[in-house]
Amino acid sequence: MNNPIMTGSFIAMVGTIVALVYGLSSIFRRKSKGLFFQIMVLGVGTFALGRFYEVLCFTTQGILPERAHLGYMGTVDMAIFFLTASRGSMDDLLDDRREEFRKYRRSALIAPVCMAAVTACAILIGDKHLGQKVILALAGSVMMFSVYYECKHLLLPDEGLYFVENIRWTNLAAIVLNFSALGMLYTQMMRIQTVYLLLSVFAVIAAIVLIVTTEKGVRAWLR
Amino acid sequence: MASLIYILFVCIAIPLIMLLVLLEGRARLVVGFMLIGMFMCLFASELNGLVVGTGLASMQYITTNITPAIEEILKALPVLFFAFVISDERGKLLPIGMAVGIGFAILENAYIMVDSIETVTIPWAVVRGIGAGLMHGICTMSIGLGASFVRKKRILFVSGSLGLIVLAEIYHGTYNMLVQSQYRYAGILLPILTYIPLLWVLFKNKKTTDKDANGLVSG
Repeated sequence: MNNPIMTGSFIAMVGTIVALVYGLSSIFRRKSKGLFFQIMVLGVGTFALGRFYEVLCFTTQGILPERAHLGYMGTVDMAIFFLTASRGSMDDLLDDRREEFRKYRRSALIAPVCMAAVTACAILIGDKHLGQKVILALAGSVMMFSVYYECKHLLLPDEGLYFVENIRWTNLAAIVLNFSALGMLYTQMMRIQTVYLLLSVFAVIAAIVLIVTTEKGVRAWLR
Repeated sequence: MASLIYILFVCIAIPLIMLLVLLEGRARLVVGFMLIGMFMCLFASELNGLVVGTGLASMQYITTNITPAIEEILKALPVLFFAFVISDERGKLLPIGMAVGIGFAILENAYIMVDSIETVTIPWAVVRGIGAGLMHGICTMSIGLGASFVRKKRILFVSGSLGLIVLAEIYHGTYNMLVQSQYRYAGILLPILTYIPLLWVLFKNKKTTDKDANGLVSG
């Protein structure tokens, strides 16, 4: 395993599988309720699956394809699950569209703007196949919406629900994971090996923090 | 023989259609969806042929990245349609999902067998039947299983359906990658090692459901 990209994919695969196993055991053994938590676990699971596919490519073929491959779909799918969790499952509960929250909604726009800038740079800088640009555009567009809601939920004040307070670390971890995952896509496509390895480590830490804090947060709220 | 797959489809489909008329209820549903699976195989063969014809990528890349995506999306469509429009009962979705996959595999195996008639053997047939047959069946059955949850939780409609299809695509791509490599026996074992625990979980849940039902009746 002397290829940093294979090492990075392997680290990301193992780390996210650990997070996934923890999440699944919470759901099945401890019967952790909360659709928000279950969707987050699914998101981390699909990310792990994508990395597994990459490790398998290295193991069987010795290299990753030069073009877009199925492993990227794991990242895109993770983004879709995170958006479903933060917008579909959580936003109506935390933001009732009152006037006082407008400043938080506006401030949260910084996150999608940064994501859009990163996505645009990733697509435009460097020589890539069309399929890879499509994957970057797809992942980036979904992540823009996802990080907006995560950033908003991070900034919103806790109005006695105590849930906002309990999931602040979740939202922060989700934002870090989204940016790391997009960065991993780009650095893998461009074969920027050391940065890919670094981002893999960030992604693993973010995924583990995400699952553990979400489970604790949902459990505290449902008590 | 460009029309070979169509000849095979007609040979297999006509007797099944005649059988369909005599069947009722769930049996008719399963055989019907097997026919749909075979039709999806026809459709997939045309799309895969178009992709190969472009010559833009190697066969290895196409078979491990593009054909799994095409085939799993096509196979998922009838199952998702049934789940969202007709019924989301797990008892119906699982056999339907399996039937679509098995129907797909039957036509695919028949075509490959006829196309490679000089080299096929019984061991080849056993491996192909178990490996590809189970793999296709499991992929689509998992979509049926997931769809039974997704419809109940509306917010998972889009992400859940996409997630299931991505899961099936990666599973299929993994199988193709393994069987084309030095780890081909791992590839052949993969569907068996997935199918057995899946059956165990399903039978265990069924026993629990039956026990609860008996308890309600006699309690």
